[in-house]
Amino acid sequence: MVRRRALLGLFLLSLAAAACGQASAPQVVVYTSEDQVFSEPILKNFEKSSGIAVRAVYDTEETKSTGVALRIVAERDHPQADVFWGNEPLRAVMLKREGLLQPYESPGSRDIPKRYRDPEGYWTGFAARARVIVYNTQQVKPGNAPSSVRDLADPRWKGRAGLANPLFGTTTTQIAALFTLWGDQTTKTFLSAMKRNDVKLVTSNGEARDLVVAGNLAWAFADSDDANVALEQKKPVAVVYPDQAGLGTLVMPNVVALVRGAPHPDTAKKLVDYLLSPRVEARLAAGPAAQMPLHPGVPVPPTVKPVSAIKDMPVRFAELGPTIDQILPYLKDWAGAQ
Amino acid sequence: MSAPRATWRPTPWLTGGLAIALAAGALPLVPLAVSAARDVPALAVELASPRAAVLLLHTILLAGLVALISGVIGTGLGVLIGKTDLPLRMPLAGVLTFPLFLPPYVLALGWFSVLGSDGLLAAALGPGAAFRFFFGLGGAVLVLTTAYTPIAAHLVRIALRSIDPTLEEAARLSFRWPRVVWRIDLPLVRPAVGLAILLAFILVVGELGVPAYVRYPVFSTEVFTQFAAFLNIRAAVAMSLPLALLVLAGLGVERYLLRDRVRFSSAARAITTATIPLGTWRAPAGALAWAYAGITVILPLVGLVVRAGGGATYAAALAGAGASLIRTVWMAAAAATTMVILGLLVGYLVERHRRSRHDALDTLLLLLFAAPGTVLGVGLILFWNRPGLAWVYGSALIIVVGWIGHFTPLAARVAGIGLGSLAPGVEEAARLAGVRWERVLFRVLVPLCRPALAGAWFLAFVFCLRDLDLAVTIYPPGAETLPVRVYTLMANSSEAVTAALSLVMVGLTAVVLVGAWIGLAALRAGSRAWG
Repeated sequence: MVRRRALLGLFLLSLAAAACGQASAPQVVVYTSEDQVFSEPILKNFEKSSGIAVRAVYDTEETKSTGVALRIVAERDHPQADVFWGNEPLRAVMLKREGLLQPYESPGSRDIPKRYRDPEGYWTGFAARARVIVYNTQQVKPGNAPSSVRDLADPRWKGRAGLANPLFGTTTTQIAALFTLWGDQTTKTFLSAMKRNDVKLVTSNGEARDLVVAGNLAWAFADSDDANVALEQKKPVAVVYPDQAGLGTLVMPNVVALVRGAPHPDTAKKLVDYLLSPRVEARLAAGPAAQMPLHPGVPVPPTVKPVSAIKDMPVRFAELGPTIDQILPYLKDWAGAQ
Repeated sequence: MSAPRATWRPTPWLTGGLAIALAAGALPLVPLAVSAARDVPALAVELASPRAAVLLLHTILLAGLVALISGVIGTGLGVLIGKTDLPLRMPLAGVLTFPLFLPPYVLALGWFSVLGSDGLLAAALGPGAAFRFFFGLGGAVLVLTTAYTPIAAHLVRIALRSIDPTLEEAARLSFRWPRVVWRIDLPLVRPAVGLAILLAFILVVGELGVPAYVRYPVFSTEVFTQFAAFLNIRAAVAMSLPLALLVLAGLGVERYLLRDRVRFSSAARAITTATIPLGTWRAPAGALAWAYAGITVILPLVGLVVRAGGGATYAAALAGAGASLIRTVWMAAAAATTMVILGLLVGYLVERHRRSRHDALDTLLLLLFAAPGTVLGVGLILFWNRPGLAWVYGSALIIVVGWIGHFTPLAARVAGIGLGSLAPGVEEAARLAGVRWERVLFRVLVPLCRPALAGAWFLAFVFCLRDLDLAVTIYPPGAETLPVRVYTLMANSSEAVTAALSLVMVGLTAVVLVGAWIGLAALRAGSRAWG
């Protein structure tokens, strides 16, 4: 009987402990789609330097979960998140359109070039990545390496090139950018040619890189941080910044935004200010993500090019919202027919 | 003659248990389903498209193959482990359990380390051949069969332990063991086999990570796309409808196959079960069973060990994982304990009800289990995220509630297998003697169903421990579970750390389960010592 009561007590205690998750100290809640290996050290550092407890929700599309943006949508009536830290601008554009963000112009945003900021201050970019070509150096000689997004449709690479599913992540941004720059008809013709060229659609940029590393694909598009991980591990790969003689390489910043109705607005602003500081960009640049600083004067890691040295694709992220509405159903059919 | 009503009142207990289970699972889903129903007509064209038909066919093919293969192999292994003198059968049962500890996506990573271009078997099989097999239906069937065969093996093993040995002893007077197994044991464990096949079918129907990884398109991708690409909750729920219909079809097939099932009964729990001597077949059967374990479990694990490399990667993988581990273990234990209690009550309600009500209730419960974790998660957010309920939604309790809503049907089904094996006469006798129902429950039913209840707790605990879809949708900020941490850390971690994270998850789950087993054994020993 004593044992049964002890077990019952332990069980009830564990349920009570489950309900005691709320901290009373100053805190901020951040939802981030930036990979945890990169974002967690930054948030821990903020916690240490500010004394504000950071409660984070991490997510990743690498392993097919639905993402923190969906959670912000689902929580719209009673927001739990203070800050949204996205790993690319498109989800922030969609959240702004849903009315789920609030404007905040952080002092740290002043040095960020205007094209990486929302014109109404709903989100601000920092620490960028580029959409790069990763190729296997055992299969492709540098002189023959692909150098343009158009190579995805080149019969020379039939069945040997890869791309992450364009419905998700940074590939969506890349294709949406092509739609805005090339126009509807040209982009659709290009996508049809890609399909005929048997471009392999994979689940994520990380998988695309891994398939190139393993030699299952000759080359693929990935983000510069994905590529840098392989370079740091001395894998047989090299990187090309595509279309430097033409359209330009797509450079995508991380974005940070205040969630509308944030429960902790003051601490949220402090976190936004911190994330937009040059020292965070320096840390993200020096770390394995090797992200490209947007603040002037922040050291750039040797494995990536500075933004100023890249011919950047002239796309305005804030204007991608309407494009996305139009192209997502088309992309769904296109990707589904692969 | 009937007992005084005051002493036999199961209804409040049973309806209370059912109400809690439904409140945790169905309540959040109903408003979501009602609002999504409005989107179904708009999506009808899409649902009737040739592409949707192909995706549904792929889903049916994959789920059907995995369910059948895992059911057949699992039943064979369950009989060998639970009924025979196979060498090292308990270690074998332990080894075969490992795939259950891991989300199937991680198993796919393990298999890729074996069959990939630079994998362990690439040289032997030829990198091209292994790659072509792995990326497609073959790889999806391989990974998911590996993942779900342990369910069949364990359910059959548990069901075999519930068989009254006097039935076998009577049959042995006239027949040899193979005939006894074929004519007595297998018919008696058909509900367990049917449940295992149904569970595998349901789990594969909702599976997204593995088919996506091996590039075999299935219908669950449509649901995911609505959520993640369109951020359209209603459309995603509406797109889940064909999956729910598939589950209902699977359930219908199970009911049809079990329509004339033998209801076996025992008046007392077997202290020992009869063991089949394999004789000259002992060595070959052992070799075959261990070869299966070696190929499907040990080989992918070895692949991960090779990929993980030295101790430093394990240190990196373990750094900061302690809090997640402790949190996950006690939450899963609390949820599993609650689920066994609720599962016993709900299972009793289902088993002892009239056939029509039994079927309706069983169907409703299985639909809760089959609901995609993300859909249930969004339903929980919409239901619990409101002022005054922050102590639930803002705390780890929301995960416990979600797990109870999602997995109690599983516990109820397994408990039902135990209850179904008990002779109703035991309860009738107690009822006529005027014994309170609660007393019969705790003093008679629970002890007699102990193997099934232990199995229900184990399965519920493991399903909570490996859950990703639901937990990642609702976990409170700063309180992630271990699988969520492993998954979110996998992105852009080195492949060595990724492999180490997977192995850490396997190892820690094994340690927890072995610890629980030792603890229970100690409790049992203590209980016996006190008389």
